[in-house]
Amino acid sequence: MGYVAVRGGEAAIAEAIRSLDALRAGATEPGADPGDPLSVDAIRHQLRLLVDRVMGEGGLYDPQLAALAIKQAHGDPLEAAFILRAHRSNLPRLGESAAHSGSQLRLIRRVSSAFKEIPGGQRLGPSTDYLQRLFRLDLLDEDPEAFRAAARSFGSEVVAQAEDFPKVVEGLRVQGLLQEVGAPQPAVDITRAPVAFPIPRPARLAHLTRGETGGVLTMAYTTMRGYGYLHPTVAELRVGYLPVRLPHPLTGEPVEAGEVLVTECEIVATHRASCSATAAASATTRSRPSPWRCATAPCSRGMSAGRAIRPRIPNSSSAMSMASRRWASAATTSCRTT
Amino acid sequence: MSPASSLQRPASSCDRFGFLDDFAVREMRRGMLKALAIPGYQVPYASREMPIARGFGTGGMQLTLALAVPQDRLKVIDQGADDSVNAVNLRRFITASCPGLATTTRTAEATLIQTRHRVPERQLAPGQMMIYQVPYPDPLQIVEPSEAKRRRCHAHGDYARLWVKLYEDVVRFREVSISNRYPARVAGRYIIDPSPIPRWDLPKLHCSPVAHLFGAGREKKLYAVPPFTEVVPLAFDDIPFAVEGFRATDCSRHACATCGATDTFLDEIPQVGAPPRWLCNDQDRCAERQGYPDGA
Amino acid sequence: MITLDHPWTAAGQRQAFRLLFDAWARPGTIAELAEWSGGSRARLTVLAALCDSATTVHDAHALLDDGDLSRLGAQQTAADAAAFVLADATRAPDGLAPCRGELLTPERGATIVLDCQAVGEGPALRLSGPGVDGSAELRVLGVDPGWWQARAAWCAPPLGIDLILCDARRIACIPRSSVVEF
Repeated sequence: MGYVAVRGGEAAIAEAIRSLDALRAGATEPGADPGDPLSVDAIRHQLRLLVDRVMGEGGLYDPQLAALAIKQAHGDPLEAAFILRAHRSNLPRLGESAAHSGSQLRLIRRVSSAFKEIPGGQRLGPSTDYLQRLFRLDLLDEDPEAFRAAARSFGSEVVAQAEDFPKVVEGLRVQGLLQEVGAPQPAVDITRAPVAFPIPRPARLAHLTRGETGGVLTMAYTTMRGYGYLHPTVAELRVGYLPVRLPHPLTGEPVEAGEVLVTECEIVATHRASCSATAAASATTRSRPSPWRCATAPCSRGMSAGRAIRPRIPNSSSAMSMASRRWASAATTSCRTT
Repeated sequence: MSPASSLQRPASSCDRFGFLDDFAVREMRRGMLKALAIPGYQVPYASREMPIARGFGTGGMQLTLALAVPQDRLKVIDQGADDSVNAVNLRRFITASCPGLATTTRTAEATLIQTRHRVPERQLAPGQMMIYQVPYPDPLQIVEPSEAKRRRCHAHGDYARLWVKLYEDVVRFREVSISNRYPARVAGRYIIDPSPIPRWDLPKLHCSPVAHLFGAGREKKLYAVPPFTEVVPLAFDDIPFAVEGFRATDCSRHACATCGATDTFLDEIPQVGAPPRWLCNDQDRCAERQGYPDGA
Repeated sequence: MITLDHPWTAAGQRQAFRLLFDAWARPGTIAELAEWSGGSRARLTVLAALCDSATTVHDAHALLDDGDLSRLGAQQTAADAAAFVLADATRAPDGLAPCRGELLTPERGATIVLDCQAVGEGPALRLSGPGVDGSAELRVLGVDPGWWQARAAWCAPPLGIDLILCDARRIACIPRSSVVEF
């Protein structure tokens, strides 16, 4: 059976729009008060992680438009990212930033599970990691005054400047345990460049960055627990605001055009040397080449600007080989600047 | 009707001693008994979803919650520390859901010790119990990705591929390269993954006076080493099992910079522009050696 | 409001299980369950702590009355399928064929709750194996010798059955991993 074109389109579409709007206003419960329409600002702040996710998957850093997309999509992140992507399609590409380094971050969170103590110390930040997932029944009927007071009484979420914190992986590099990561390759905008296999690393990263969060999580889990055996340790996870510098259109000098919230994660993992290097081992240890040598956990917050790893053949004195995954290039993300 | 009254008050941590419902607790009990009766065998269990994420120690936590009685004294450690965020978080939840349960940081006083990555340095005594949080329960995972096949290997005591993996290590690195989760044979039969404890801690499981219970919440398995049970690390006759040496380049043994101990597992603390410091990983042992200067 | 007494309270079962756990981890040691039994024999306290509608029970010698059975909630099945078998130790286990588990599922080997005349008195057994520091002596009174022959035939670790010996107040455990000598 083929795909049949359903007739009577005008009326059906008009009815679909009408029913969607009605449902958004609470039409399923006759007589019930659906409350006021959600303001875009309320979505932007109170559903901030959903906004981040939609911006990440939508490939556009614009919290207000992402909030609008969420409202319009009735909270379906896939649909909201769809709306954002479609909008992004028609934005002019005004320039391309150089690769940015995470050392410029204004940090709101910085943790490491590789070492108990790290130079500069750990900052848990706004994380649910150590919260107990029990209902907060006080939120059922929240006092608006207390709600607003919580925001007023808070100082700044920025706890530190990243340059005050030496990178954990740098310490490992100094000890010769980690290989230097090569120079960044030129950015590839996968929405503007044709796909040509083998696709370069920046393009792979861009695909992962825009990947649906659940899909990327599945891939990560498959690598860790399915046919993989990689249990990475978080050498360092940083969340913060990254100033984005673009070349000035006239002078070409980099100028700060705005900032984006990013998550940078560098992981270290014991992993098997390449299959060719361990031909003897492959008879007994399963060697299944995989395009992803490393888990790519979705970012807890903000945009993930890139993810990659560098495998390394172990040296003779150490059985550990390390892979570091590092944040690559902010250029994979378009920055809408005003 | 206000929104608050239209919702049944959800089971909060205080409603029931031990948070878990009676059916979950009984399932854990049955599983624990079989785990002890078949030392080292991974007993499957349902593993309820907890208010703490999987990977944060829910397997160990479920064992603790199923076993605890109000007169227990609980110690929770994470990498030898009682005050790490993870240990604090688990302890907060367990004590909130087990009214009356006392906590302690002193190994000697604890009846239940829930741990991630370490066995206390202090000799354990009857009346105590170790509960481990386990990320990977199966030692064969490093050589066989299919759980169905791994189960068959365990059933037939077929550990040949694990031995070959160890042999390959020896050929390539002149030693077994496993730093933690070192496989060990229990009571002459099953080989276990002892959880990511360092090699240093593995001998403490052998013929120990206490029961050691292992819970893998995400992988839904629990297993046990009963008291006075043989736990033998896999090793070759000519390349024996060895624990970490903590040797400096001149072959001297690093000592704890705080208490001076040379018989404990040490942490390396990187320093900016200076050689690393070495400190006892087991905080309580370090404090005990100093006579508990902070009155902890 | 209906109130429950031991052994049907969650708190009592928790205490009783902890005693059972310690006795099970150290075969041959005797645990006193009377405080949590509410006047019942220890066998009922043990079953109450372990059984519910998710488990199966075979009451070989009709030791449970209807009230106990309904409070336990466990499904009654044939001996070869039951997770728990309750039996009178003074009677020989003739014809009983409990589940021993299989190599892929040894945990399915049954737990046999054996009601004896006395635990801690009577002829001595010598136990060794996991949980026992060297060897341990256990005295039990009123166990038909057929049970020991049957246990020897059923147990080939990791397969086998695990025994909980109960009298009015006390229990002792002999898991399949124990070596029993007379």
